[in-house]
Amino acid sequence: MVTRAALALCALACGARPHAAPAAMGADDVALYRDRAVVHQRIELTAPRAGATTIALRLPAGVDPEQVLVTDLGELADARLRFTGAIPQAAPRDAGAGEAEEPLAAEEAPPPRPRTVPLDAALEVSAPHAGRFALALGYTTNRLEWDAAYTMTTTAARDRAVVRGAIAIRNTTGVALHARTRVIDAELGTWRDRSAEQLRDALVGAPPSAPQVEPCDLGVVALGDGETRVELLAGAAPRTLRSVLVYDPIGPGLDHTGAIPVSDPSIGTAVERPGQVSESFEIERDPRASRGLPAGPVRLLERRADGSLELLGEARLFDAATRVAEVDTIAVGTAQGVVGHRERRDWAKDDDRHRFSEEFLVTIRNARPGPVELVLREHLYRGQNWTLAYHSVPAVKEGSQQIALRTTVPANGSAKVLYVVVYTW
Amino acid sequence: MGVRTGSLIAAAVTVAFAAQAEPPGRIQITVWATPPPPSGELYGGLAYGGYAPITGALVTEQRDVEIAGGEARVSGVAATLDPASVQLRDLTDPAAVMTAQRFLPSAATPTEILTRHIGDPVSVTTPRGELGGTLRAVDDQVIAVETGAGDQRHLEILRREGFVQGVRLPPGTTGDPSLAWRVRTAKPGKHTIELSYRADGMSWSADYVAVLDEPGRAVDLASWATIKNATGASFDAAELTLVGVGADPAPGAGRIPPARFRVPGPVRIGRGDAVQVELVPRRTAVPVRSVILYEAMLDPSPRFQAVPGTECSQFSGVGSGNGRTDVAIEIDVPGRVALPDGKVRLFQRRAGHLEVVSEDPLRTAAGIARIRVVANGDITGDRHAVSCNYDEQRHTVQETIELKLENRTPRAADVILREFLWRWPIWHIESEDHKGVRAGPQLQEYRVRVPGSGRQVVTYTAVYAW
Repeated sequence: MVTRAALALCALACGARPHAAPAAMGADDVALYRDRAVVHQRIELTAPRAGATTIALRLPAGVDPEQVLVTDLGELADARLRFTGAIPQAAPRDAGAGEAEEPLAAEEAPPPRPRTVPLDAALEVSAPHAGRFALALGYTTNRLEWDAAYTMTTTAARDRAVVRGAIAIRNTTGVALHARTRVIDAELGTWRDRSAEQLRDALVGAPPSAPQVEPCDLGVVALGDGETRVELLAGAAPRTLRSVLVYDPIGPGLDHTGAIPVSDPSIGTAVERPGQVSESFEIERDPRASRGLPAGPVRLLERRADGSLELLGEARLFDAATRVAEVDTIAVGTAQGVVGHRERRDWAKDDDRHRFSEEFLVTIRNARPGPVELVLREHLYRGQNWTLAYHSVPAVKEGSQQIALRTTVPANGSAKVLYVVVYTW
Repeated sequence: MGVRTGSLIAAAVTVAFAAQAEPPGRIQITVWATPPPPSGELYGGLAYGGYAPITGALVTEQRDVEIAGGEARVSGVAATLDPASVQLRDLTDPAAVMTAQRFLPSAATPTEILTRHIGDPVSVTTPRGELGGTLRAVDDQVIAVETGAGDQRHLEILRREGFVQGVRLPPGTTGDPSLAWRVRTAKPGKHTIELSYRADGMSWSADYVAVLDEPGRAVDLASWATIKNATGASFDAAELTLVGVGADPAPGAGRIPPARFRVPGPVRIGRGDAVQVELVPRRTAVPVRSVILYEAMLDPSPRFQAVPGTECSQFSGVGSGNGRTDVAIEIDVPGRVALPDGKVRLFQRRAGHLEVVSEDPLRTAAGIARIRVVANGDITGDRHAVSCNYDEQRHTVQETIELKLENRTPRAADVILREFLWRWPIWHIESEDHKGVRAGPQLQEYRVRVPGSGRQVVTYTAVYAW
C-alpha cells in the first residue's frame, strides 16, 4: 500500500516537473536536510464540547521533549504537552544526609539512554467550542535519513542517455508520516544561516543574495516505517551524450568555503594526478528538470543489443561543486596519448587591497593522430569570493568554486590554457 | 550470579500494596529555572566565593495522616528531598510538636520493601493458602511471620523461592520514599498536615517560538515553559510558580528580583514527566522593528555576584575582537517584567512552508523582546575604559566607558548597545551622554543612530557600591 502510494507520487517529485503540486490539506510537512529532518506535524482533533480536551500523541523515537515546539495552536488555547516518563530520575539523596548537597553538575550526569521506541505524549488543550481543530508541532529528528542515486543509460551508439534518479528515505522514527516533503541538500545549520541572510537582506534593504541551494519538493509522500523510494526525473527525455577528454588535476578536495581566502601560497601547487587525462562522457543537463536535485552517485550503463547492461563508469551528480554546471561528465578510463601539465606562473598578495591573485598555465600534449576536444576543470579552492581576471579560452562556471575551460588540442601537438584568478575579502 | 539471584527473589515475592498513600491535598511547587551555563572561562565564580544559583524546587503539600502511637508517616515524597529542609505544620493540632524525623529513600528491591514492614501485619500467599501474621524478619532467602497468640504464638519460617507467592502489606504503605516522624500531640488520630521541603531534580526552562509572516512585518510569539520532574515523586494538581534565574535580594538591596510566573490552573506532573505549558499568553501579528544589537563582550556578571570586580584593567579594552553585532527583530511585549531567559526559534512563512531562520537566546528587557537573525559585519564597535577608580575605603568602583561604533554601509542604522554592568549587582549611572535604559539587573541599553558611513560614540560613567 505504501509502495503504491509512493509510486503514485513519483510524478510529483522534483525534476519531473518544475513545480510540485500543492500539499494536500492536513498533511504534515517534512524538510529533509543532510544531517537531520525538521518535521511540522499537523495534529487534528475533535472536541466534543467547549473546554478542555486531551489527545494522545506519538512522536518519533529519539526526540528530546524540550525540542518539541507547538508552532501553531490555531483556535485552541491553554495547551499543555505532557511527556510521560521521559526524564531520567535524579540520584536520590542519602537517607542520613542532613545537609544540602551540591546538585549533580550537568557534565557529571550520566547521558540519557537513547530511546528506541516512539515517544508517547499527551496534549491537553482548551477548545472554544465543539468541533474539529488543528494544531502543529515542530521538532527535529535524525531518524529520517535519505540519499539520492542516479543512473544514465545509453545504447551501443553512445550518443544519447536517459537519466533516472531516486531518493530513498529511511524512516526509523517508529511513526508513520504523511507529509509534504522537501529535500534540501545542505545541513540544517547551513540552510538556517542562508534563511537568516535572506531575512537580513530584506530587513536592511540590501539586494538579495543568490541562493546556493534550492529545495527539491517531492510533494506529499507517505513515509511509513522503513525505506520509501521516490523517483526523481521521471519521464525525462533522453539527453545528448558525447565523448570528451577531461583534465582535472586538482579535484575539489582543497575547496575552502570561507569568505576569506586561504593565503598559503603552497596550496594547490602540487598536482594530485600528474598528467592524467580522463576519457569521459559528457551529457547535457536540463536546467529545469534538474533544479534542486540532491547530489548523489551516478552510474553510466550501456544497454546492449541482447538487453544486458554494462557498467561503463561512475561519478557524482549535482554536488555543490557543480551546482550550476550545464553539463555533467563521467570518467570511463584514462586517456591514452594525451597528458596535461599544470604550472603556477605567478602569485601576489595585497593585504591593503584585500586581494590575492594567481596565474596558471596548463599545457595539454596530444600524441594521437587526430585532434581531441578537452575540458580543463579547475577548482578555485582558496575561497568563495573570486573572479577571473583573464582566461585564454572560454570559461564556464560550474559551481561556487569550479570552472571549466574548453580547448581543442591538434593532432600530434599541444595547446596552452592560461588564466588568472583574483580572490578578494 | 547476583543478577540471577535477584531475579529469583523478584519472582518469588510479589508485594501487594493494599492501598496507596493518603489522598493528596493542596500542592504548591515553586520551581527555579535552570541557570544558563557560564559563558567562557572568566575570572571569579564559585571557585572564588561566588554564589550558587538557586536550583530545584520548594514543595508544599497538605496531607492527611494517621498519628498512632506518637508516630506519623507519609510516603510518595521526592526521592531527592533535602531532609534538613523539611518543615512540618500540623493544621489539626497547631500545638503538636515533631520530636524526630526519619527519611526512608525508595526501596529498590523486594527485600528492602519487606524490611520496611517488619512489625506490620501481613498476609502471605503460599501454595497451601493464605497465612496471616506479623512480619518479624526478612532476608533474601526466607521471611519470618509470627502467628497465633498466647501459647499458640509461634514463628513461621517461609522459604521465598518457590513457596512464597505474594505478601499483602498494610494499607497506605508503598515502597516510595517516605518521611516518618515522632510527634507529640494531645489529639491522636487523623491529622491534616502541611509538609514543605526542598528537592533537587525539578527544573524548568523557557522556550519561545516566533513565526514571522512572509513580508517580514509581523510575528506570532508563543512562550513555553518546559518543567521536568526527576524527583522520583508524582504531583497531582500542583499549583506551579516558576522563578527565573537570579537571587531574591534583601529588602532595600537595590537588586531586581527574578521574575516569577504563576502557571494558570493546576498541573499534574508525574514522576519522570516533562510538561510544557504556556508561560505567558501568545501574541499574534505583533509588528516587528529591525534593529542592530551590539554587545562588546560576553556577559561576565554571573562570575561577580559575591565578590565585586575591582580589577580596573579587566575588560577595559574589548569589543574589537570579541564584540558581536547582530541584525535582530524587536517587538513590544506587555508587562513590566522581562520575559525569562530562554531559547527562541525563529521561523518565517515562505511559500507555504515554515523556514527555520535562527535559534538563539531571546534578548529581553521590560516590555521588549529581541530575536537575533544573523551576524552583521557592517557595524563594528570598540569599547574601552576612559577611567576607572577603585575606592577601597568607600567600597566603590567608578568607571567611565567609551563605546565607538562605525557604520561601513551608506545606510544609517539604529543600533542598540547592550552594556553589561558586570562588576557588581548594585550600581547606578552617574552620567551619560545618551539617555540609557536599565534593561536588566546588570544590563544598560543605549539606542543610537549611526549615520551611513559614519561613527557614533557613547560615553557613560557607572558607580558600583557594595
